[in-house]
Amino acid sequence: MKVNDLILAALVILGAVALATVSLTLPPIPGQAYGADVFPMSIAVGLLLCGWILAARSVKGGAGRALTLTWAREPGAPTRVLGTLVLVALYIWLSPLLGFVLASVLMLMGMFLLLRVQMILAVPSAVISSLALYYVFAYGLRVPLPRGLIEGWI
Amino acid sequence: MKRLLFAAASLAVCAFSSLSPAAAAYPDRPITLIVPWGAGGGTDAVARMIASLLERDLGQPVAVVNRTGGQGVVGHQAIADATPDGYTIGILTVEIGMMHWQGLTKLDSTSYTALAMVNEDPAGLQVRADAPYKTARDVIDDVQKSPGKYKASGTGQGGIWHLALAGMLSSLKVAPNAVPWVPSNGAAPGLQDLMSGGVQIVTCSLPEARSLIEAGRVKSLAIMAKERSKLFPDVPTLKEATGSDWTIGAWRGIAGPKGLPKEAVDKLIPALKKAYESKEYQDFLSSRGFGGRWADGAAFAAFMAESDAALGAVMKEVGLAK
Amino acid sequence: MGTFEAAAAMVLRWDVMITILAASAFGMVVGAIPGLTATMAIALLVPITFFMDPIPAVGAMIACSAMAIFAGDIPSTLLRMPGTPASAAYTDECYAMTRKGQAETALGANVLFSALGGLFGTAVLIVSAPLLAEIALGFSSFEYFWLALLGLACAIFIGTGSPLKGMISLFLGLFVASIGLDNPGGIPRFTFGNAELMSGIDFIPAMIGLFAVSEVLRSMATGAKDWEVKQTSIGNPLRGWGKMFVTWWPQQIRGNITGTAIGILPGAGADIAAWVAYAMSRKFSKTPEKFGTGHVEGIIESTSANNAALAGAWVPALVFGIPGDSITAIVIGVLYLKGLNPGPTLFLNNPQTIYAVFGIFIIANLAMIPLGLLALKAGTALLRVPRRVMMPVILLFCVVGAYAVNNSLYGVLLMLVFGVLGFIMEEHDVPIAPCVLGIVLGKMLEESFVTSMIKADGNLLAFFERPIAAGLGALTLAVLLMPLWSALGRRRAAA
Repeated sequence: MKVNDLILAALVILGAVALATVSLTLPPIPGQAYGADVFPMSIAVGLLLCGWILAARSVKGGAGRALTLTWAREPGAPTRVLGTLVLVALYIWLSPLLGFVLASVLMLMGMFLLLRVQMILAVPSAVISSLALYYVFAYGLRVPLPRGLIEGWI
Repeated sequence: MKRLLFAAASLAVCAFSSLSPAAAAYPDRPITLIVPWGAGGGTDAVARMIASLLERDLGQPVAVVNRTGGQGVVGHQAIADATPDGYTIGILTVEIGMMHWQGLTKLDSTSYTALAMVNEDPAGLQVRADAPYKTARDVIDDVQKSPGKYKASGTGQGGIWHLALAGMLSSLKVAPNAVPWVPSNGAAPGLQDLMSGGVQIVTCSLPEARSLIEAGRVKSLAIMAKERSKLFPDVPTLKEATGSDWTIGAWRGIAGPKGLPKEAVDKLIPALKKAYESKEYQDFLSSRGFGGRWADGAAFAAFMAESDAALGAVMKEVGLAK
Repeated sequence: MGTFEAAAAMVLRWDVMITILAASAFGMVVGAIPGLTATMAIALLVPITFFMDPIPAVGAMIACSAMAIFAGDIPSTLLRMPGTPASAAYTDECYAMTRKGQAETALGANVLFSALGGLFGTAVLIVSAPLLAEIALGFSSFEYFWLALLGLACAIFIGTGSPLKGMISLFLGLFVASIGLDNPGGIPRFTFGNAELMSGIDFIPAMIGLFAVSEVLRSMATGAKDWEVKQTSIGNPLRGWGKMFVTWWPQQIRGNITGTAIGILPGAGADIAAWVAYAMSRKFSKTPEKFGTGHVEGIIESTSANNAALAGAWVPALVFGIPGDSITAIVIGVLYLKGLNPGPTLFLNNPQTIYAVFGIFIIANLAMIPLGLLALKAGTALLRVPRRVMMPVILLFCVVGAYAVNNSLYGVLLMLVFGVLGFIMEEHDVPIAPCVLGIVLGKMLEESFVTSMIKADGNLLAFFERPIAAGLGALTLAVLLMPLWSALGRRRAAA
């Protein structure tokens, strides 16, 4: 799923204008000519130029269809991609409540389901990799992964 | 029947609570120590040393976790926001008494349960070894003659060493903006800029400047403390050099989120005291050239409140506060 | 000769050797996990070194960091997941080789040239540390400004496809770098009052998102079908290496020199060195069109450069106690603890210790070759796991890595956002490498500009007043204007 270059250019220009507007509100460093606004303002100008040229080129060369489906044409692709995003978001929400191990088993099982992996392969893969990661990170590397319902017992 | 039910219920409660972590003696699982600054800095070194000593004493792993960024705001916020169960503590630095004056956060020293202060390093006044100054007085005189000509560095805009410079100038009746501040990412890049001729003054602490002082590239003209440092006893105090009463230093201390359970506090403060007094920690301080300073619980909290008010007053005076 | 013998006696002991081996293995594991950097590996070693003798303690840190920087190439090659930021510059090139079935060749090149780069950097460290440290100390923000700009100019050479879209990507990266409180003014920018955003966008979760998560999303879209290409075995690595060494020796030498030179500067390190080396390799290549399609030339130059930079960073650290990167910042602390106070006097009073440190550098880089080959064989076995099983597990690794950077779920959220961004960008033929470069260099560019202007009271000409700055400035302008000039020339010729 992609938009054509003309729409892309419009988005870039819009972003540049927004960036410039916010930059104008940034206070200077007391007594100095160049402060916190210089850098974002230069970026805005640069983006504006790029957007302009891109727009000019696509008007000249023909922009093509407004929306092409590309990857989204494949059967089930949108579900799999959006499903993955939802699963990671769920992990972010659930891991402080359930703890790392349960939340990651949930995420992995969800993805295996999306990819239609057989249960006989999916369940052990999800459980073993979650536990292995937990041990390596929490004990070996001392990363305080979220503790929840079952981490106290393992 | 009622009695039986009650007995069963209390049995169940007992059984349940013996399983739940709260009933076991603190600490029964790993502790996290949050450091608001990056790995490799002085705060990180102090934290890792204290953590390894605490670990030995408490018998539970103490993991050091760097939560960096936002000039310390993020890490300090993370310590304050942690669940107050004694399993997440952190190392506070002097910035906790500065950030809220700049309007960067609402946090201040009262957002924490103070445990123990473990270190303090006063600011120094450093110039290049080949600079034509013999004393701090010479530097001040030169600054007064041509305000704006000399630049100083050592930390970010509005950081502790920036305040050290501004406060020093102000105490000597020189306009604080007579020496423009060049923000840097800590003392090392500031010193590098001193060596490369980018700035003329660096007001970081003596241990931070130590290797260059020992290499004969940088000289320290004064230390902004009541007493001379053990590391460089030849460097006079600012009072001796200029008559100014101005003192300032960066301190570090261990604290937890507000409302830490008494059980945890009673265990942590003696453990920290033991760590502080240990040979390893004292050797660590003297080998790095860091200054030791101990204050526990209430004394640490009182120190922070006092430091907070003093910093706020100066920051307003020199125009660094909002 | 007494000094050398004393140094050898300090190094050639079984406990030192075992420490080096153990630290190398540890560095390999940490470096190979995305999100965990070489710096983090060293920080984790610190408490252990408290209880060690000076030489094994220093040895452990050298071996661990060298191995971690190399190991970052392993997941980068196999899974498009840069293990450390120093691998980001040539991640796409290595991954393209894997897609062609040449994973072992790519990793073999990484092993050999990482080790050789490290040895070259060490040689420079041994021969001329005091002199070079002196030069490095002369770099001020004026010089760093030009250096950062020169680095950005690399974006012109690294991006494949439309240069215009490459520029958009670069500006996007620069914008990302400008978010947060860590700017010269100390003013919160684009944070909307959020405490997490104040810390800015951490580079590592962004990198994991742009490279690895976008790749996972793409495979999810296609149902994670297994690749049809079979991985070819390299057979005897020595034979392949001989050929590579003979064919690409100028690239290798150039990478070594670039890496060491950038590594010595306290304000720049292994990651910038790799970018510059990769861009240079393409610029001077006889076959620049092969870059990006799985061509070993650029890999050799940049993998040499990042390991050479690592040794280079020790130059100002040992001579003046000024850290060349965050790794040496930690090491300096340990040196003090062990009574090996850095400074010129260390070279005078303690020459045997310095030589022992050099000896460890050599041993650690040599040990990289057998250990790296083992890792290569173990790593490529991963590619035989069905991708339907592999992809979810990779995503879990990404999640944990992004969390581990700062131990917060904010990192995971960033990773997710950048994953989607990377996916969308690549769908629209906007290359992601320039964006990553923008994030790497943005802060340095802004800081050096603003602080220079404070020092010079706003006089822009100051960027040309110091001799090194003037030279670098002229070079940068030449590099930036050259493509414009040749484009004009072409147009005139056509007319």
